[in-house]
Amino acid sequence: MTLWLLFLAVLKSSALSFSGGAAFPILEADVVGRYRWLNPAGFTAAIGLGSVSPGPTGYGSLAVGYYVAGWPGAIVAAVAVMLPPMTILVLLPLRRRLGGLRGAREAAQGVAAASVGLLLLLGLGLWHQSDRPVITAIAAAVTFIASLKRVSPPLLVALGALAGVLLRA
Amino acid sequence: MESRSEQDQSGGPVRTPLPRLFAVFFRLGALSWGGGSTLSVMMMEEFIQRQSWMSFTQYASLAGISRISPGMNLVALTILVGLRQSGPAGVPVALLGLTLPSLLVIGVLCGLVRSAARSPMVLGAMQGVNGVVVGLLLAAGWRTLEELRREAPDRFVVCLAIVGVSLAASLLLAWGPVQVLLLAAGISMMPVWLRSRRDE
Repeated sequence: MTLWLLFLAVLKSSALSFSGGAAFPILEADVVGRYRWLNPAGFTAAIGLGSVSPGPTGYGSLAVGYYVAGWPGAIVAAVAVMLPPMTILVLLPLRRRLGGLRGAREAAQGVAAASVGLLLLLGLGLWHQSDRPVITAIAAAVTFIASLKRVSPPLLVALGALAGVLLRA
Repeated sequence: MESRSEQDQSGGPVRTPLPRLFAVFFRLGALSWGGGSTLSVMMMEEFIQRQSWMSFTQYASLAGISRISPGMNLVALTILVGLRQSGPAGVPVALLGLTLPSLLVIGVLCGLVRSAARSPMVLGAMQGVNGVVVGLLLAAGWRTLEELRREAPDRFVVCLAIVGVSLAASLLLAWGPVQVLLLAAGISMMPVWLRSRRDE
């Protein structure tokens, strides 16, 4: 039952987003908020491990799937993220017949703009719920700047983990 | 879609064998450490230069179409390229090639971290990762804004207004993300609808 609900949650988050990271606020609302499969720390850990793995950013949903239900969860999530883009096979012939889907690009832009707001709220929410807000804020600020300067996410996650270990020791 | 008609005129596309297609996408999936921006550059180089599957114009056309599909654009691009190179069977083969490396690495990595979740070292490490993830999410939002400004400079004000509306709807009305995104799509499409109604 959990696997089926997980499949639907990942499918929904993927279908309603046009780029990888935009799916995470929608997924968090279900996985942490609605079903309480994970606490905020677990969700963040999964997204972090997803960022050190290869593949598109949105494949972080596979890590969330693993955290919820182990290997079956990861596999179910993998199938769920591959389905929404299949719509392109239906849109392709339609597009040629209608001479471009009127408004499709604008709708995609609107969803992208709204996901900026949702990502901001998710980031602030996870910060608010973290155990050590000051350290989290510093790490987040450094990451934000480094990421915009094109430092690779796997490297940033590794540095964050190292800093976490050193601060605890 | 000039790419297709060009190929049809020259007697139909040359099909890429499925094992070759799988190998190309497996390599992309396995080596793209660093998320979407890394993978997107790698895909372009692979399809145009390394494999000589298509010209830049043909690539740009496929990439443009992939952007209107729901879900991850790069997965949609994988589907389109798989179909173009090897026909319908190319779609699942390309998807499997792209996804398998991520699935394996994620599963093994999460398994290791979870099995050691109580060790103080892993606990400390994950607290450090916590802040990095917050920063990555905020940076993803910022980059999306930059992309919107580049893609549609004339509509950037509308996009900023939609960011504001989405914040207000989430915070003040306690709307869920799904409602917020549907509202945003509606607001963003409205000018196009109004214009097309006026034209008719």
